[in-house]
Amino acid sequence: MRYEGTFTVRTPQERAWAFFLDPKQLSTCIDDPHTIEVIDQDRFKGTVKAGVGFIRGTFTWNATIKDRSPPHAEIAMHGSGMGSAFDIVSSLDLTEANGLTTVRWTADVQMSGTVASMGARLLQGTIDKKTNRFFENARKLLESG
Amino acid sequence: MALAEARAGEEEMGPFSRVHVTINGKAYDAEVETRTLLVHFIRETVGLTGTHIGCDTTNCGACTVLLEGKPVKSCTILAVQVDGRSIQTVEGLESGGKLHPIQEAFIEEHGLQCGFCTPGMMMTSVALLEKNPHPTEAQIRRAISGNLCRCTGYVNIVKAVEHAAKTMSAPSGGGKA
Amino acid sequence: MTVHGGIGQSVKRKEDARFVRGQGNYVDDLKLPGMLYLDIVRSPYAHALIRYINIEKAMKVPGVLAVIRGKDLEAANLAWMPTLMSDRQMVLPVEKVMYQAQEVAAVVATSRYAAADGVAAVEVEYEPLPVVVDPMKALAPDAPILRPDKNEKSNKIWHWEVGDRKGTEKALEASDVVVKEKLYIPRIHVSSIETCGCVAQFDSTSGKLTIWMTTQAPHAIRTVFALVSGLPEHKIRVISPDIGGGFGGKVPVYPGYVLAVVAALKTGKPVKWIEDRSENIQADSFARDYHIEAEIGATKDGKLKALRVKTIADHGYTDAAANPSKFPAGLFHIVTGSYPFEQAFVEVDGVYTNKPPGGIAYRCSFRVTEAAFTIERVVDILAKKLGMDPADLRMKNFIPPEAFPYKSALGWTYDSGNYGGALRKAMDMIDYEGLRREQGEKRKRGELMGIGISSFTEIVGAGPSHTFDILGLKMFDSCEIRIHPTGKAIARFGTKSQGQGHETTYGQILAEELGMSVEDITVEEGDTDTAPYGLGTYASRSTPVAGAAAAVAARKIRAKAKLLAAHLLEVSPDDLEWKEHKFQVKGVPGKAKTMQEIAFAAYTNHPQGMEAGLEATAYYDPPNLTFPFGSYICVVDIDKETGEVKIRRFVAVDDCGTIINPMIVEGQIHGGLTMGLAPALLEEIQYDEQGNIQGGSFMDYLLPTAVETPHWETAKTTTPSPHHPIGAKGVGESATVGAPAAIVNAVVDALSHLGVTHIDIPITPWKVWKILHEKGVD
Repeated sequence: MRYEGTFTVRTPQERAWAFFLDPKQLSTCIDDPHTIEVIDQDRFKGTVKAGVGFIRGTFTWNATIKDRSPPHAEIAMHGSGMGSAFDIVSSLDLTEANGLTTVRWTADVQMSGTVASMGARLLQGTIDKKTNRFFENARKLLESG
Repeated sequence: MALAEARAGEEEMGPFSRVHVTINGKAYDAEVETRTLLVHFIRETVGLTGTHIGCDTTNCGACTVLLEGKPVKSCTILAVQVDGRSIQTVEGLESGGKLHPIQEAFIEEHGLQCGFCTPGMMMTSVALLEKNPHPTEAQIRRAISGNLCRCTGYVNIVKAVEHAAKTMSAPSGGGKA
Repeated sequence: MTVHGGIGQSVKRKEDARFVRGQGNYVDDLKLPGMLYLDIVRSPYAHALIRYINIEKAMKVPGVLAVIRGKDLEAANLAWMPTLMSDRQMVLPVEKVMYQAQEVAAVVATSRYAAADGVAAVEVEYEPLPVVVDPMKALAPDAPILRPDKNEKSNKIWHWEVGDRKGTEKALEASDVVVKEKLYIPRIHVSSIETCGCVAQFDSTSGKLTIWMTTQAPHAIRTVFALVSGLPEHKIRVISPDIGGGFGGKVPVYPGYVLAVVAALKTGKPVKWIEDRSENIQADSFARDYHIEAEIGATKDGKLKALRVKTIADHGYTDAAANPSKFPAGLFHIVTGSYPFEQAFVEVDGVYTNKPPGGIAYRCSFRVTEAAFTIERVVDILAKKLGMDPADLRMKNFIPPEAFPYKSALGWTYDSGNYGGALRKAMDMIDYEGLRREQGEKRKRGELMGIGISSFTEIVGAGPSHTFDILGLKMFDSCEIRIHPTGKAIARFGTKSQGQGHETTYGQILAEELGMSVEDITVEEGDTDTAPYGLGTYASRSTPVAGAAAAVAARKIRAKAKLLAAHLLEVSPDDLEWKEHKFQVKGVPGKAKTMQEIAFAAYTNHPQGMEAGLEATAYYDPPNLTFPFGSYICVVDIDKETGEVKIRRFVAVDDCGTIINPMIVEGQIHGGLTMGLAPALLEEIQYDEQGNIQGGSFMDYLLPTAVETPHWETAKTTTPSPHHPIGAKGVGESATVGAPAAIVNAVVDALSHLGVTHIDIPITPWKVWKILHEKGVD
C-alpha cells in the first residue's frame, strides 16, 4: 500500500532536515513504547510495542537511511514479531518558502502475517491514526522553541 | 532435528497461582500457571473433557460452562478468575444416574450429530430455561446465537430446548441438576 | 413382523449416550503418560525465501525439548510428501514458503503453553518474493513461475475437458437464445467445530506407531504413511476416534500430522498436535474458488439445447484436492444437471497461486456444489430472458422418469429420478402460485420479494473400480460381521462417521437384513487394526458403498444361516424361505428358525462338514454411482434500507432413495441447508495483493448462527436406486449442493425487475444495498 502526504511546519528547512534524518529525534514522535539503538550514522535498530486492536506485542525493527542527498532522503525499515512482518520504504523531499518548510513524504508499506490478516479490518484505521499522531507530534516539537 | 537435553525442574514458565474452585459440586484445588485458561484447567488439570475448544476468538461457544448459573465462555476466562467460585460443566448435568431433561431432549429430538458443540449448547440452554421457562422459538435462537453448530442446522436443537422446557415445567417437575 | 430398528424407523442414536454426557472421545481428550505437545511456527508471508531459522532462543524456553526444521526432514527425505492428487506438498520448507500461514518449523514441549512460547521465540528471516493471488494474473505470460519443479513455463497445473466441443459450438450457434454468464464461487472454509489434530505414539519395543487422528479415511492414511515413511504397514495403527465434524476438511494429510509422528519417533514420547481455529482457517484445505463462464442455448419456446462451461480452478500452491485420480475437476461434469442436453462441453484449467492448497473440503461431493450452482443459476437466467416462469422452464425440460437409466452428454449414467415429482411437491408445499401472486402485488408497492428454485441432481457413491481410484486405491468399501452364540453381533466398516450416525444406521441395515434387533448389533469404525479396509467417509459415499457392503455381507450370512436352519428343522434348504425376518418352511409358518436360534446352532450344533461360526465380510465395488436429487424453493424478503436478505421460507424436497432412518436423514438435510446458506450469504475467504488472508478467524469468517438460519421445512419423495442392494442413494451433501442456487435465484428474482441478472456470492447486505442505491431504489 502506498501512502503519501504533505506536512507543512513553521521551522527552517535545515532544522526540519536535521530532525527527520535523526532517528533518535524522530522516534520521540512515536507514542508506542519503544527502544532505539544507533549502529552507525545510517543504521538503527530497536523494538516497539505496537499492534492493531487486541493483536499487540513487541516487534523488533531495523532501519537504514538509503539516500541522503538534501533536500531528498530515502529510508528503509523492516520489522517483525508476533507472526507478522512489515517493510516500509519512505522518501522525503523538503522545500522552504516564507519561513515554512514543506515536507512531501511517501511511504510504501507492506504488512504480512497476523496483524495484516486477523487485523485486516482495523489495519487501515490504525495506520491512519498513527500517521496523524506522528506528524502532530513532529509539528509540536518543531514549532516549539 | 535439534533435541534438547532433559532439563530438570524448569518445566514451566511461572508465575503460578493456587486455584480453589468447585466444579459440579466437588472442590478442586491446584497450583497452575497464572495464565492458565479456565477451559484448560477444566479439561487438563481436572480431567473433565466434556467442555470443548472450537475457536480462539471467543466466537463459537463450545467451551460454555455455567459460572454460578451464568453461561460463560471458559476459553476467555483465566482459572484464577474463578478462584473461590463454583462452576457447572456438562458432566454435572446428570444427577443420581438420571439424565437432565435437556440431555434427554437432545437425544429425543436428534439435537446433535458430531456432538462437539453439544455440551456448550446444552449449558447455554439450561441457563436460558432457568431464566425463561417458556421461551419462544425466536428467544431460543437468540439465546443460542453464541453457540455455533456446523452439523445440525439448529432446527432440532430448538426442538430439543422446547422439549426440555415442556418436560421441566410439567407438574412432575423433571427437575434440574 | 418388523424388526426393532429396521430400515425406515427413526431409531434414536446410540452415539448420543456418550455425547450428551460429555464422554465423547475426541482426539484432544486423549492424555497419555509423558505426552508432549507440538506447535507450529507459521509464515507471515505468502511467498518468500527463507534466509535463516534461528532456534537458539526457542531451545532455551522452559519446557521446550525440540525444534524441527525443513533441513531435519530433508535428511530423512520427508521435507516433501505426495498429495492425494499425485502432486507434492511441503511438510516443512527448505528453501521457500508458498502461502501465508504455511508451516515453517515445529516446536515440541512439555505443555501446550510452553510449545506456544517456543513458537514465539523462533526467529525466522525471510526475503519476500512477488506474490500471485489472482489465478488470471497467474496465467499471464509475465507471471512469476510458482512451481518450476512441476512446470517451468506456466502456473497451469492441468487442463481437463469432456464432451463434444465442436458439436456444442454448433448447437449454441443454432440456438434461438443463448445466455452467457460469469459466475465466481469464492473460496470458503468448512471450519467444523473441532479443528484437526493427532496424538502420535511410537513403541520402540514392538516398533509400532499408533496415531489417533482426526481423519475421515483412516486406512488410506495408514497406507500413505507406510509408503512415505518406510514403516511397515502392519506396524502402523491409525485410530480415528470420535470426530467433531469432517465435511471433507479431515481428509487431507496436513503437515502437522507428519510433524507429530516425526517428533514421536525422535523423542520416544507420545506427541499431541491440535491446531488453533485460526491455523485451521488459514492453512487447512479450502473449497470452491472456481471462476466459471457458462453458456446455455435454447429454442425460443424454452427447449434446452446446449451447455458450454469453461472454468479456471484456483488450487493454491499445490493440487492437494482429494479427487478421484482421473477427475482433477471432480464430478463437475454433472453440470448438465436434471436436464437432457444433447450437446454439452466442459473444460477446466487448474492454476497455482500463493495460497493454501485444497479445493474440495466443504461437503461438496467432489465439485458437485459448483456444478449444481452453475446449472441452476443459468437455467434461471435463461428463464428470465425468455420471459418464462422458472418452474415452467424446468418442468418443460426435466429428464422424464421413463428415460432412466439416463446417459448424459458428459458420460454419466443416472440411475433413477423423478425430477418433476419433487418440484411439484415443493411447489405445493410452499403454494408457489400464491407466492407469485403475492410477489406481483408487492412489486406494485415497491416491496422486494423473491422466489428461487433449485432442482438439482447429485452424484455420489464413488465409485466403480473401472473408473475410480484415489492414489491408485480403488474406491470400494467394506463390512465385516460376526454373530455371537447368543445372537448378538459386532460389525466393522471401512468408513468413518463424523456425526452421520453410522453406529445407528448401519445397525439398522443389518437389523433388517438379519432379522435382529438393532440393540443387539454393535457397529465399530475407525481402527485400522480391526476394521476391514475402506476408503472412508466423504462425498456422501458411506450409504451407497459401505451400506451396500453391509447388505451383501448380511446376505452371505443368511446363505449360511439357511443351511443351518435346514439342518435344525431337518428339511432341505430349498424348502425354506426368508419371510418375516426368519427362515420358514414354505407353507408351514409355525416351523421357523430365527437368526438368534441359528446363531446358537452355529457354535453348538452345526452339521458335519460345515465350519462353525457365523460371520461374513464383503468388499463392495459399486456398479455405478447413485444420483440423489431434489427441488428446493426459497422465499426472500429484502430490506430496501439495509440490503439485508431475510429468508422467509425454505422448502426442501429431497429424494435419496430408500431412507434408513428418517430422523437422521432430516438432520443431514438441515445441516446441509445451513452449509448452503453460509456461502450464499455469509462466508468468503479473500486475500489482498500481498497474499494476506483477510480475516482468518471466526471474528471475520461468519458461520451461520441460530439467528441467521431459518426454520427449514423438509419433505421427501422416494425413488430407489435400481442398482443398490437396498435402493439407498446417500444424502449427506445433497442440501449443501442444492441450496445456494435456490437462495441466489430468490435474491436475483427479487431484483430482476431492476435489470439484475446475477450477483456473485456471498450476497452480503453491502452488495445488495449498492445495487439498490445505483438503481435509485433506496
